[in-house]
Amino acid sequence: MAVPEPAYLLHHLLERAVVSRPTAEALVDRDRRIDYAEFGARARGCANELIDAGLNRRDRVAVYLKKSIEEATSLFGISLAGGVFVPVNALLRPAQVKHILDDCEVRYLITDDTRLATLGDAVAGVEKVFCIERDLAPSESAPGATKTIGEDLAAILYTSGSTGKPKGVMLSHRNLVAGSRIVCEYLGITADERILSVLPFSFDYGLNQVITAVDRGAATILLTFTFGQQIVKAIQKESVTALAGVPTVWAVLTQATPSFKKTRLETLRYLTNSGGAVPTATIDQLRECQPQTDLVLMYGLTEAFRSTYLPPHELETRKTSMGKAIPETEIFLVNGDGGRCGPGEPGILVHRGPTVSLGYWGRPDATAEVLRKNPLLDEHEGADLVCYSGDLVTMDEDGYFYFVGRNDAMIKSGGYRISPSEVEEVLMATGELAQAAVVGLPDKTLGNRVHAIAVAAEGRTPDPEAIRTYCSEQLPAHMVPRDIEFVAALPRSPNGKVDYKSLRAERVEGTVKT
Amino acid sequence: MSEQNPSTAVETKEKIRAFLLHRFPAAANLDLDADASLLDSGVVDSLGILDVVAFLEETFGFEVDDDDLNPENFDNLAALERFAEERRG
Repeated sequence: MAVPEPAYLLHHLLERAVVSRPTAEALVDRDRRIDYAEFGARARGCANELIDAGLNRRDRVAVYLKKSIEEATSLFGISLAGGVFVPVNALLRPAQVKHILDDCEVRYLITDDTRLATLGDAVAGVEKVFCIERDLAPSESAPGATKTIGEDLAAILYTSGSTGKPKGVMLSHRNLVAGSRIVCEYLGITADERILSVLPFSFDYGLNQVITAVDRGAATILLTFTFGQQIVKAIQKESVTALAGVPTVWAVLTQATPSFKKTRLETLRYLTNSGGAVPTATIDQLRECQPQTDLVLMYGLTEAFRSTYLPPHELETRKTSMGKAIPETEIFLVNGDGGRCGPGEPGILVHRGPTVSLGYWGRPDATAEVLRKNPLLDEHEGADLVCYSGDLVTMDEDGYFYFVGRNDAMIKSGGYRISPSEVEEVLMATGELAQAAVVGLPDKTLGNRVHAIAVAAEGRTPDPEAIRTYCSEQLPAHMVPRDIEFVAALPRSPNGKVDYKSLRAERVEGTVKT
Repeated sequence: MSEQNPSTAVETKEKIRAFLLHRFPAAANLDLDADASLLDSGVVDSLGILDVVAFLEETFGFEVDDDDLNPENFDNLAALERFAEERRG
């Protein structure tokens, strides 16, 4: 079957690799290995079963699996069938999984028996569940052509903002294909790459490792790790050339993996970072441990997929920079008056280019806040939709950007975006508290750690550890407050809202001891 | 800060237990005395290992080596206690 060139649907990338590199290694999951011919057969098998079950174009299909061959092939199978894939982080608890399944009206779920058993009635709204132990056998017969075009939804990725439950960012096929093409270009990814994938596919950045590898017919090595040594061993055993991480991955490698310091990993061509700034000391350590390896600092937000990258040769002189605009993309800063900022003037980062998403599923108001008409052009001049990041940033004379802070209460911790209100809701559900506010306090490993400030309910003397245990039953570990601090009352701003800025500032500046 | 007074294995165990329960609140739902797995349960993840290592080094005054970083030493409370007792000498 002829594959359109250039590819404009996600699964075209796979079909191209199946034709051009059928026997090349595609996915490695511990001792299991498949080539592109097998990858294609598994995607077709998945697509055929979904179509047999009645999948219509644009139906949502969630994938709730640990990092595995089945997880990766399912995403492409869903695309092939004309559906929209919704990867669910394997660490989420049933309540958060249920939110995702219900929020975007997921029709089919792909999971395994163990996970299904933990979900209980969280899957009540799903029409059919496929378990990898029984379903989705590889198939040689290709499903019939779908009517999908590049503007159709390919994926919905859930991410948190400053308030409320996670929202589903809608990405089109064109978004994903452009994102892959752009990243392949600036990282110089080729068919010889062997990319280690340790980040979840529910995270746009983590998803991009497997998409770029398929784009070039390269290999993806899937790894779930507890000890940094497992990463070092995987790099050695599989001759890994590329590793994408978040700051916590680098902390594990530089602080709790002596072999990373002692072993020169000659095959390792580059490391990429996103999901938060890497401390300068860690950057120095990484370069000292692996001087032959390029370190590429990047920045992006799910709503616009990828925004900036710092070319490795600029790292020496611009260690604190987020980099410059990625190819095919314009990044500019706007000030409070809506005008373009000059060099050095802090402003909100605005992203313009082919990876601007289609907004949030089912939330037109939230979408309208993030996706707005290009403020630098008039309507009659063809003003397009651009993405407002909510990140406060400055730019230098050469077009390199520097992160200043968030413009709202959203917490960035260990690569995750955390909404304070989602954590506060769980704290309040204990019935022990009259009020609760959650802020992010500086942490050298996490960037920010989750810290709760609470007022006890009248007549109660809550046990903070018992409350944290309750939170850990309801929330994934990265959302559980590291500490709960009790106060008599929460400060309010003049309009009566909890004053998060001063709660955080008092603790950062040390006027209140935590 | 290393310990000035030699403490017994029981004290070592209780210090580790107190640390685990504070840093990993989900550990309260594990039967730590019955060797419940901290790793298989997902209660201690890669980032958690980092904090366990820092705690052991700071509290018991020894350095954790590459060869020490494996499930045999980190999987449960008894393993951590044995490891800390062995290494503090």
